[in-house]
Amino acid sequence: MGRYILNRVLIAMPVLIGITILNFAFLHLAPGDPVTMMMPIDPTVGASSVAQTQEWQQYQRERLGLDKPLPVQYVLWLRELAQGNFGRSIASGYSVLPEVAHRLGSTLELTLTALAISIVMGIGIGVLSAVNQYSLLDYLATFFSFLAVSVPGFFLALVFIYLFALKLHVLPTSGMSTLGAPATLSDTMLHLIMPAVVLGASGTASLMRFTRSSMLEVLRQDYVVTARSKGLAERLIMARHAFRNGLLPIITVVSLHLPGLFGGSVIIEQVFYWQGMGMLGIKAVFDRDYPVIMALNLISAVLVLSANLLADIAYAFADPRIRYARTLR
Amino acid sequence: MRNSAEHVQLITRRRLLAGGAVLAAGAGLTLLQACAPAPASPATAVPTAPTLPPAATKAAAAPAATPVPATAVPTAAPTAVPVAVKPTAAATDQPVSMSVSTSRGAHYNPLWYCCGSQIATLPWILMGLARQNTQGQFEPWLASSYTVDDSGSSVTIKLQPTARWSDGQPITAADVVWTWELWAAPWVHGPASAQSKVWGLAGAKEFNDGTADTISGVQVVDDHTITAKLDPPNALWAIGQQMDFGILPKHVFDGWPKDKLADHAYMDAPTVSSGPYKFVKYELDQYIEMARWDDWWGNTVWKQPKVTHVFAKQLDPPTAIAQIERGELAVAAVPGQEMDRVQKMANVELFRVPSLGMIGYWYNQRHTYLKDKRVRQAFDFALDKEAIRKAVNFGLGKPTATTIMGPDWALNPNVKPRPYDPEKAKALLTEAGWDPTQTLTYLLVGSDAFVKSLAEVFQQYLSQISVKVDLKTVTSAVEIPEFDKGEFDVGLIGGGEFARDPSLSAAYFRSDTSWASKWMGYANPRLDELFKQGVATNDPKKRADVYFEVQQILSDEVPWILLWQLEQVWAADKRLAGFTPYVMSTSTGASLLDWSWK
Repeated sequence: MGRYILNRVLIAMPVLIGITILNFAFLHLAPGDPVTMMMPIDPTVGASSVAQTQEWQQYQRERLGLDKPLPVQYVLWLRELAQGNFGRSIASGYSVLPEVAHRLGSTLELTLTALAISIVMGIGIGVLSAVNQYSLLDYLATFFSFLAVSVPGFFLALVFIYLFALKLHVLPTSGMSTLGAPATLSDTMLHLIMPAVVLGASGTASLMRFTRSSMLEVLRQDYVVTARSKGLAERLIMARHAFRNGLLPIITVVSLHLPGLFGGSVIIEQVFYWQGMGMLGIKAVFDRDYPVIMALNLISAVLVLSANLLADIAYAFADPRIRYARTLR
Repeated sequence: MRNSAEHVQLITRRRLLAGGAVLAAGAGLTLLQACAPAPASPATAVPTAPTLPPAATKAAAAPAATPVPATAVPTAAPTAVPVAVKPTAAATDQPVSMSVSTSRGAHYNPLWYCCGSQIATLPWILMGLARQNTQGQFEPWLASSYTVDDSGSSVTIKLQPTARWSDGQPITAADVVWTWELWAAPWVHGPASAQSKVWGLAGAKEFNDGTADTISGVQVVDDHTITAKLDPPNALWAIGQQMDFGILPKHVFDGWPKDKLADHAYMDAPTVSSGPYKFVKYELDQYIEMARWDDWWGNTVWKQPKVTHVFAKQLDPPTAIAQIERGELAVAAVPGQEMDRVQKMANVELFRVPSLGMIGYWYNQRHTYLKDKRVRQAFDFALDKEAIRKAVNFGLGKPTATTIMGPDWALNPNVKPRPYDPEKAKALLTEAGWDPTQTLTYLLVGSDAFVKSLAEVFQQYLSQISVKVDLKTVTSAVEIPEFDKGEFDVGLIGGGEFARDPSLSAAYFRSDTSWASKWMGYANPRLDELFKQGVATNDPKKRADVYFEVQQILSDEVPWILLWQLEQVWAADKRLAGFTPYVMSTSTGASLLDWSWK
């Protein structure tokens, strides 16, 4: 097992480096650079001022190392990174790591809550749907899951804001806390609930569908029939035989949801004014703030790769066939 | 030396253009001037972080009554949810939340401050010598008076005699001079520093070069009086933006190395302050928190503010609109497309005021086929500007013929916008010998829906006079290089603070001092001369004569086609008393001293 994990980690490393190279290249291919964003030429001033601006821009490019060839810039970035230095934001001057770490916390709070909602609701309702196939509950669940998958997150978010904040007055429209009020857990939860539910909606729906079909398949298996025929209580059949086996493929599905959650959170954070990595990222892109964008991409990549790795490991853990097959090879 | 001061103004203007206008007036303007990334698309309600503060809009309060059933009154929230602090009639000390732009700067401090969120709050924490009132005009603030002599060669500034810092130290001329020197200093440079603010003072450039230890033109007469020589003479120095930046407390920096200013904690948290509010917290990208300084020395000079606590929340317009409907915000700028919705909110009052900026098209006259003014006039005749304003801008805005839009004394009553007259347009083109096979290229910057629709209407109206227009789309990041290349004929321009003073139009049309005229390929020696005369005196009568002629020339030669003067829309919670709309979207709290909960 240990060797298997090591194997997966070693494969993930070059993938990660490849991702950073691609990111770096695409970033610099995009038109504009942080210096022009910082101080554009002012057309309302005279020629000497324009010349000064150009001189200033040149000075800043040299200072920031933007005048060096791209591969050199990349290697420099990598070298600093190896020493744990993510650099400073070009736009704000702040050190990137603390700012990103701060935002990472908010984003994790949101995405993990969304994931938890997806898992609990998706698997729970999925199992119930399968067990009560063609019941009213099953039809309702199917209907809502298709709805949740088809409606874009940002739109669902607006519907939720309209309904729960503006019409029913039960939830705040946006933000992470009530300004001027003492920070309490209930306040945080109230602000968290809408973005997390919206972000988790499509995940919930697909997990529900997945669990349902996986369970239905398992319920038709011979060993379930055998269990039934030996008079085992239905509850035990479900818990011991059907559910555990039905869950196997779902592990993969859950971990594959993570990248989608991080991607989706960019939009959901905007709509709900959730101060996470997504909001920081969009600002950074507008500012062409390379160090911040690189740090965000790197962290997202690490999270996504870890999620995949976790999926592999969890799967291997749950299904010995995989573990042995890989180790034997 | 680096002319960062100009940049501050530029950025401000640019923001107007690029950011605010789009949202606030429903107008996303790309500026001729450089600019920052395009703002959020107003078409969808998904806030897309504009990096620029809201654009220019302004005021002429026309509160719209909203006698609608109270279905959405948030105070009546039926649940015990502790969401949103809801001020009630009794709780006059409840905090006020107002929306400010989402832009942010590296420091919360006037040495480098840049952005709308700071513009809206800093004057209340660190007072400048002057402050913009709700009409956008400057009035004395930390200075009790400032007088420029008739020839414009010197200014005398008197400070409020009772002024003191929140730590008890008196505010004196030494603080002002020290702050000015920081602005001029070579080691305080960067995109958002205040250098331009002192550039007009004699000796500032020598100080910057390092050839002088002080700004030679500045004399401290006594603790509360300063005289400064102006170079070149500028009779209108006091109406410019030279004095609104906050004065810093010199004693806080005693002994601190001057080249390490950015590392001083005060640069991010100005805890020693001079204004009616104290700095509490700047939560990056979220809000700025201020609390009333109860013992403010100015309580006896002006009055004590009634609002004890203020949150300036950095919100995109769609979020702000939802929050004001919910009662989570007391004041917010309203984008044009949200106006109807806000008008229907029972808990909110709507305010509309003419803004200082404009929107229009500009010609690239480096192309000879646009040199004939009859051609430019023809295109002006070809556009139904009123129809465009109604269709694209929700009826917001006011027709105007030139960028000289105010104050009233400067307006030439004989200069009017050209009416819509396609027949006349065709006749003028024929007269000018226009080549009917000539295609125009319209430079479309960014993908903002408003900006795009203005490009499309231009295309459509010109097709009615048989002129074909191609759209050339580029991203805002390459706007400036595109201007340099000049491979286009027409573009969109907007924003600015033109209505504040007619001299501000010189920034574009005075060819001997403006870079813009180079891009426009437009120069008129008579205009250059008039703009020079216009700032040589501060006698409104003489100045009016000058600017009347400027308007005639601009209207006749049409270097820009003016679509309309922008209009700013505000929403304020009905429980808030004393709100006066500000002419731009930047300074939400311009009337903060008058606010109170009903």
